[in-house]
Amino acid sequence: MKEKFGIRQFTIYTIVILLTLSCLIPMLNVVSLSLSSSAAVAGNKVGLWPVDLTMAAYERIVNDTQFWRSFGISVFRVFASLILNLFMIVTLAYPLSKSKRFFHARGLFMSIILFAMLFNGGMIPTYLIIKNLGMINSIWSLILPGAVPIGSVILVMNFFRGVPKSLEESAWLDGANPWNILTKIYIPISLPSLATVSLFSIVGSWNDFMSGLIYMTKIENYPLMTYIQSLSVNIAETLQNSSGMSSEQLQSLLAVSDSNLNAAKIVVAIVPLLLIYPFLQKYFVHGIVVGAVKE
Amino acid sequence: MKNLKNKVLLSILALAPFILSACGGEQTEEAATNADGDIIMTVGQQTAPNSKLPEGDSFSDNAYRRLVKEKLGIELESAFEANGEDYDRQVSLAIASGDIPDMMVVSRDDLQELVDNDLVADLTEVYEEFASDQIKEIYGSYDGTTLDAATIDDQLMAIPGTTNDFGPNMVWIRQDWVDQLDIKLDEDGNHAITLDELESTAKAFQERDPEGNGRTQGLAIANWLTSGDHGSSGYTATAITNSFGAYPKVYLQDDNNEVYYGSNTEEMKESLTYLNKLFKEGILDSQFGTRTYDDINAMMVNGELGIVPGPWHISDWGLVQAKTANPDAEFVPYAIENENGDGKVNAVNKSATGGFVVIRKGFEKPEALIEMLNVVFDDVANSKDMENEYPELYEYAQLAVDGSVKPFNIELFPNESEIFDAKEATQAAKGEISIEEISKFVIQNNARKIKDYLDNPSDSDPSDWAVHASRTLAVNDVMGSTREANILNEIKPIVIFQTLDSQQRSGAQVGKLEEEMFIKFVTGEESLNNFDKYVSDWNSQGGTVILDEMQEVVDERE
Repeated sequence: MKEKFGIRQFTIYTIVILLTLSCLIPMLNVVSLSLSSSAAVAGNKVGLWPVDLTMAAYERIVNDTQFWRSFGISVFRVFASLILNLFMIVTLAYPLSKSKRFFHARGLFMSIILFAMLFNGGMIPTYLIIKNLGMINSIWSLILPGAVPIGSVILVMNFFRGVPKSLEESAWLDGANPWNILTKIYIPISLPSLATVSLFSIVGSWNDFMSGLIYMTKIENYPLMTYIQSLSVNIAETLQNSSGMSSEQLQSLLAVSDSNLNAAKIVVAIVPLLLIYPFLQKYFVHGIVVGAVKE
Repeated sequence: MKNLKNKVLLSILALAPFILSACGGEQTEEAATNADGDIIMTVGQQTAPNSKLPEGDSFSDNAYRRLVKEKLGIELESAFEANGEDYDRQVSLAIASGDIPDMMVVSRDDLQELVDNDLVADLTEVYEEFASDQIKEIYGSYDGTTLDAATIDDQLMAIPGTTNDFGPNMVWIRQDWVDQLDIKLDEDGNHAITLDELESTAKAFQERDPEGNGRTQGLAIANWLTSGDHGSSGYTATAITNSFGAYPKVYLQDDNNEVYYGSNTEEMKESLTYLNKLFKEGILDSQFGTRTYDDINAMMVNGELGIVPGPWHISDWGLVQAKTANPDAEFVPYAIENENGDGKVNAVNKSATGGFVVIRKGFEKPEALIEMLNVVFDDVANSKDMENEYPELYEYAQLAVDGSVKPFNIELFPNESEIFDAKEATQAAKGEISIEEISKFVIQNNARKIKDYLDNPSDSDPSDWAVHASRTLAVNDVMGSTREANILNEIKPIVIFQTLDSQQRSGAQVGKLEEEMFIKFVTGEESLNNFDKYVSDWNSQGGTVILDEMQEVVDERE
């Protein structure tokens, strides 16, 4: 039954390879920018391979105290968010996965959750709440607002529903209470879906820069992505609006736009995600698909 | 993307009054004090990502804040710190929450919002009473236009920063190539070349390829083609259009006081026809329109471009890269004489305002702002012996610490002071006056750099060359001497600080139309015969409304 490597196969491979390259080339470019000399970068000479190989940009990062401070903030945020998210997801998804016979108010809770998923207060009201709770400039303003990722709750809920009922029933007969059933049966069996939502949580909180911009009023409290964002300057746009800027201001803006150094910062910032991916990836696809199918 | 951000800001502002109506009613309260009895004043602190602050100093704790504490007994505390658009967002959030810091720098539109909601203090009296003569003299040099911008209902509601913007626009030409190819430029020595000279030089550079890399272009211009002011004229054709008497991207008044748009004139059509000719002849980069700023900058650095249009300070941040890559690269600036042969040079002069410092209504000591102005822009700026009087700020100047570290990120200098400053620095560098006699520290510093360059031109630091090029060659030689020789034809466009409603609505759309059509006109994709059609499109897509609204504002002023 082996298919021959025909024109069909060829086309598919070409498309897939092209797609892969279109993802890979920009990353390679950033890596080689970070390893090239500043002069080569300014001269637009760097393509896929580094020109005048140097680690100078990385040496400067090592000395950038704010970078490591922000790095630490981001790492803490990711772990705290992950633990909180998983706890919320599991404890919410389990009761919701039960039918109306066991959980009478399920419909009500489900509609509250769906409503909260579709609508929110918007930026200003959310800001005011955070401010009045005294969380401005606190790490918790980055963690608590995203404590319940509803999409993930629904994903895990559907996964729980896919678990054969007979497993739970036999546990009942053996005298297990709901808590035992959740921790001893559901959680171990649902690892693929939990790995998936963990990945969502990690990637989401690592990459989010917007909440840092809004809730943090001092640079020293910025998480890593907000810090890196604050370093990026669109030179062409700046130049078009540069009336009224002194030569010193322009000079310092151009120094900030050092693509060489910024590329190195981006590379360092994606390393943690690259390290996590391989461990969770095998669950990743599996998790989404399994959760989607119901009995 | 930028548009989206603007929309977010706008919606914040739109919401502000509703939220604010719930607050208010507070009157002057006792200001908070620290343990030493100093008044604590909260500020919105603008920052810069590359501040170059010395180890241990930060935006929350720096030499300026220590100076203010020592001299005025005021402890400054950041309510928030952010830079650029993030700062604007923090200001909007502060306004929306009705909890603004005691002092912050805002835009003209934000100022209006704050005044409408009665959140900021009237500074008329404290300014009159406390501002030093020097400070008043600075504002006086702008004929009051700067203070007027901050005056609402005859009350001074903010302290405005000054910016000025004046020409003429220039082109920077590789002098080493000119010498190498033995081209005659500016033989009358008035620092202005003719369009023909520009064209033949570009042609010679391109054909004879002095750097020998085979890729030399005559003229390369960024796709936004023109700029409305001198400061952002880098990599644009504004200098060329000015020589035709066209002033793109500014609003002007004709003899009957009627408002018109500088990009839509018959003169602009002529300039575009000329640029189209250059494009067809291949003197203007054949990839015009698609080449990005980064590409053009790279060409300049790699020695593929011998003519770069740009403002007086482009040597400091742009051309210095070429000088660093190749020490032989010597750019010299020239203005362009008018195309009609009257021997004059057209230029635009915009005195403007940058940033408005406001004091929260109810803050106990509004005069603190004026006292800080006196310290920063009078006492320190005019100190003859910085090194001993203000050692910490002296160190900041040596390290080139970003100006945003001041309690308020505004500048205050007399109109056209650049010319006077550059002249003084140049004279001192040439030994005509003593460097130590110079009253301003910044000028002393520049004089030393120019001197270092002049003492040893072939083997100097690129940044010394950059200062020499910007201050001596551009400001002193071109901008100063064209004024002295009286060959400058300066026009003053309409300056409006707030954003007009009509501009808010359709400014972006007509701007895009202009940009796209001009690229097509230059590349010949669209015939210049359709210029009138473009103008009527511009008008119908919202331009007429903008002109009408501006006419109203202008008429009201008179």
